[in-house]
Amino acid sequence: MSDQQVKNSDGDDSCKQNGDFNHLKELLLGEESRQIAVLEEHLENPELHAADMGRVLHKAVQINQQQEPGALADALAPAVESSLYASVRKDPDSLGDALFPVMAPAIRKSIISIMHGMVQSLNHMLENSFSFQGLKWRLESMHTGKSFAEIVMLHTLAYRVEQVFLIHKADGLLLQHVSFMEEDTQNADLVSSMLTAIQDFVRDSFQVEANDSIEKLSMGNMVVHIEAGSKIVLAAVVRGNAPAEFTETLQQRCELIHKQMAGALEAFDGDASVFNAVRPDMESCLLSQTASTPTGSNLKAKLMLSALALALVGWSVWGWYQADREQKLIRALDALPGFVVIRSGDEQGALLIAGLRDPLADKPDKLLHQYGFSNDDVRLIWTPYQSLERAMQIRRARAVLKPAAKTRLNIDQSKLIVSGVAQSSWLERARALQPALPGISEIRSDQLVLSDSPEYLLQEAIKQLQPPTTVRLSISGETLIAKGKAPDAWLKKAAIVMNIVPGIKVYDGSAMINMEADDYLLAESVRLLNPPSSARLHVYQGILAASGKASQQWVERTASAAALVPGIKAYDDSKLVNTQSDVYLLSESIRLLKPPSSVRLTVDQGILIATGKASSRWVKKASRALHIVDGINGYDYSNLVNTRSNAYLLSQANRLLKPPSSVRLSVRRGRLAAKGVASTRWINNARKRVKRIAGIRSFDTNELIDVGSNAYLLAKIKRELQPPATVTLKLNKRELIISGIATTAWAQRIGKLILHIDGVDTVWQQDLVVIEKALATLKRMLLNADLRFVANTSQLMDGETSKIQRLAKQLMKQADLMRITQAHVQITGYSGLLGEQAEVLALSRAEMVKRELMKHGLTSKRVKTSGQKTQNEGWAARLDLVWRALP
Amino acid sequence: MSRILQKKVCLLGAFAVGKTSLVSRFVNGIFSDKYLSTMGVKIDRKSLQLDDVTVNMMLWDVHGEESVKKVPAAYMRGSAAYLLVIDGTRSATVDTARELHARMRAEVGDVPFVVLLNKVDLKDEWELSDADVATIREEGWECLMTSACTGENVEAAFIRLADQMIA
Ligand SMILES: Nc1nc2c(ncn2[C@@H]2O[C@H](COP(=O)(O)OP(=O)(O)O)[C@@H](O)[C@H]2O)c(=O)[nH]1
Ligand SMILES: [Mg+2]
Repeated sequence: MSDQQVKNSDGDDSCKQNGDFNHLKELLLGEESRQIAVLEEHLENPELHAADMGRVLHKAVQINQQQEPGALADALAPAVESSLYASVRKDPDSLGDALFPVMAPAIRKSIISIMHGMVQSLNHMLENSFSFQGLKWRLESMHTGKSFAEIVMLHTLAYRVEQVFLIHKADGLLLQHVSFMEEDTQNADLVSSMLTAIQDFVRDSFQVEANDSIEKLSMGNMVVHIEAGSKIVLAAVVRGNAPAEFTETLQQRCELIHKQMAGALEAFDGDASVFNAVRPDMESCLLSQTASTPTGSNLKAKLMLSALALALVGWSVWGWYQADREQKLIRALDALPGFVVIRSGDEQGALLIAGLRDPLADKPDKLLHQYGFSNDDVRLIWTPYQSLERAMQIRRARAVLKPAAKTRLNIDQSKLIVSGVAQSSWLERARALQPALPGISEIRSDQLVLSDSPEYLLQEAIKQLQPPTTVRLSISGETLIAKGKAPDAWLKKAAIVMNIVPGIKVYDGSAMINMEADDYLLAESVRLLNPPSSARLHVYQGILAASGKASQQWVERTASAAALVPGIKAYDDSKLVNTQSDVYLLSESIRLLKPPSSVRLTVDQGILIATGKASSRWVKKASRALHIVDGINGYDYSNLVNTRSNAYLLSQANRLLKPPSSVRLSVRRGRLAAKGVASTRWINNARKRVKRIAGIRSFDTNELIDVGSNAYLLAKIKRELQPPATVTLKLNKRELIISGIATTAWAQRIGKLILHIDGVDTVWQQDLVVIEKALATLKRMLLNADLRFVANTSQLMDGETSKIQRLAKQLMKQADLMRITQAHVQITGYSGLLGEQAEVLALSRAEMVKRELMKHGLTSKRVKTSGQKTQNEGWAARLDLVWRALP
Repeated sequence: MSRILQKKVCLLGAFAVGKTSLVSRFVNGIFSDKYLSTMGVKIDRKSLQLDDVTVNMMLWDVHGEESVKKVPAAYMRGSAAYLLVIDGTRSATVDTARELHARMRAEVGDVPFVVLLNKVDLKDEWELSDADVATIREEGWECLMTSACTGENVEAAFIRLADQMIA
């Protein structure tokens, strides 16, 4: 059997030379060679190798674990750690970030437990390595960047509760901890505090209810389930996806522990040893479940084959893609102007391309990059040649003729077409060089503008100078002539046209008008604004100023139009008087109406307003303002006081004289009158002050009663005594004189009053006639007077007429009294005769007496006559006084 | 009888006073002057054996913000004791310590605390004068001059705090 094996190994003809050597080897080493071959086979064949490893690995790990505990775990740790780190980092959640630095120990611990898990299921894992699932997991590991071991872990375990923490809620202290891997509980207290801190942080940061708490924290494929009670928190670290029931389990445990440990929780002072009692409850939470993985070897093989087939297809597609890329590059290179590809091929793995290249052609690097090749991928070998392709010909013509930037070159068949702009000297040189250009038979320049031709120069000058429409430019030889008008800036620019337009040597602007010169601007302003003759315009340094007078309309129009006069920079109308402006009208009104200083004039929109005080004469003049002041279209004097008006004068008098309420002043035609009662002092003052009131010509005090005067006193007395109209009271110093006629009744009434009159010392009433008394005296006198007649005649006896005269005198003295009392003298005549004659005689005798009385002043009204025939002889006529009774 | 006690201990103080450095000096015995500002909270554990009691201190190194109001209240809750850290080179950190102290009193009540006047290795650059320190002491604050850099008084401070906690 070993022979056969040697033969088999030696069966290769190409090793004939070695035949002897092998034979020797076989003789010497025989069995060993075969064993080596078997070992070789085992090492080379992955299938066998894996099987071998599988058989010993668990043992190796066990030994390793005993001799160097944790060494293997340590070796694997970095890979798993970094992959976990990456997975945590992938989660942008800030919580995860905040958590990471402090959860590191926990993570490290968990990694260690992963290690243990891994060791346990290493066989299982290696068995799966070459299955379809293994392939898939490898792909997944490549794809996600996670280690293969981790992927295997993830897929073989549905979930596993690895640690459970019992945490004191108030301070985050660890009360109890159970773990899937017993040996690592060192950092559980830190994790516990940290979990609490995270809860606190979240509660503070997101303003959740105080009793709300996080239920789940996830990091990569690890989830921390948190169940918070009132005093404790139960947190479970779960790898994989725990079923929904797990949350319930945790909840139940939490409640249970709460009940069980209520007393201990109340008394907790940092000593957690009592909580050992709940370990079993917590350990019962350490659940896990293995994921079911359906495996059938037949299916596995089939899938394996199809994977291979897929790989094959992939490879050929890649090859095809590569070849296609090369072809495309070659074609593109060949199409490039100035390139001709002659051959291509593979040279030591690089693409070789050889051909012709015009030295004026572009470098091919850009194209290489465009097709995804670098300079190392491709080797290029070029032989120089002159291309007659159009683009290359133009390029060559440019190189030889060196046209200016504005000169364009083009090729049409064998003609070189020059267009754009060029100097005639350049064109001449180009024509001379034309034979040096291969493939060019002729130069056509009919589209070329010669930069030294007058048309071109003019066109350039216009383009560069942009003359305004008011300017006409022309060219004469090398001189640019400008005519017309233009702003200063343009003139300045034009003056240096020689520097701007090559070919122009001289500028002639002698016929130009500077549109910014002051006299031009003035002429333009006058032309456009058309000022009235009363206004004058000036221009200084572009500033237009107007002075003089003008209508409002012109002023306003010009204020806006001035700026529109081309070249005018500013307009100053401060010296211009608007003849319709209120200011102007006011000054005119003042000048022409000459108001007194007491008058203030204003003009508002052409209306003259006067306020203050003025004489009627001025007011009268002012009311003709419309005729006097041009431009005034109305007036308002409602607030103007006429100083000669009665009302004004009265108010002035009242103001100045301050009469007491008992005095009433009035004014008429400059006469001030005072009525009423006032003190002497006031009256005297008033007399003096009234002279100060302009417009008052006299002061009438006739009806003014001086309280200190006789008149006042008298009036007072009159009021007191109530004398009848027939009585006159007079006051002389302190003497009251009562005269006239009064009834006895009145005389009696005043008899007492006059004894107590203020201001009167003596009362004179000798001249007071008391009616009844006086009349009685007269009556007696008349009754005593017997008048005698010559017998049987109506002739008075001697001496009787003088008697009558005396009586008449007495009666006349009391004429007033008689009149007042309607008294009359009753004369009765008598005759001693009998018969008819007697009566006649008696009457005529009475008449006789009447006549005599009337001679001495009595009126007939006051005398009545009658006759009686029988009387004694002695006296023939009797008189009596008769009056009506007084009231 | 041997007991193991766990205690939550808060480190409080203005930004960059050296809380993190003190913890790392205490826990790991190292000082790194590579500046690393703490984000949120960092929790470390250090066990101290005091007679027959083992105190497991869970050290909550609370992120020192410019504004102390931003320190989440929950971080303070449940503390059995705390360290108030002041940076001797910045007198403003005293005020921050006062504010934090007031907040801590409101959150957890009258629990033991020790005041650390840190960076004593830079005593020459201190803004805090001896008089200032005396004033702080007069308030009844137990002060220790520490340096996370040299390790001076760091262990002593934590031991002092643990002592008070189990007393
Ligand atoms: N010289 C010196 N520097 C320190 C000391 N403690 C902390 N630092 C430095 O102060 C800075 C802030 O420290 P850190 O511990 O991050 O402060 P935290 O924000 O309070 O945690 C860091 O640059 C530390 O190196 C100390 O005792 N002495
Ligand atoms: Mg810090």
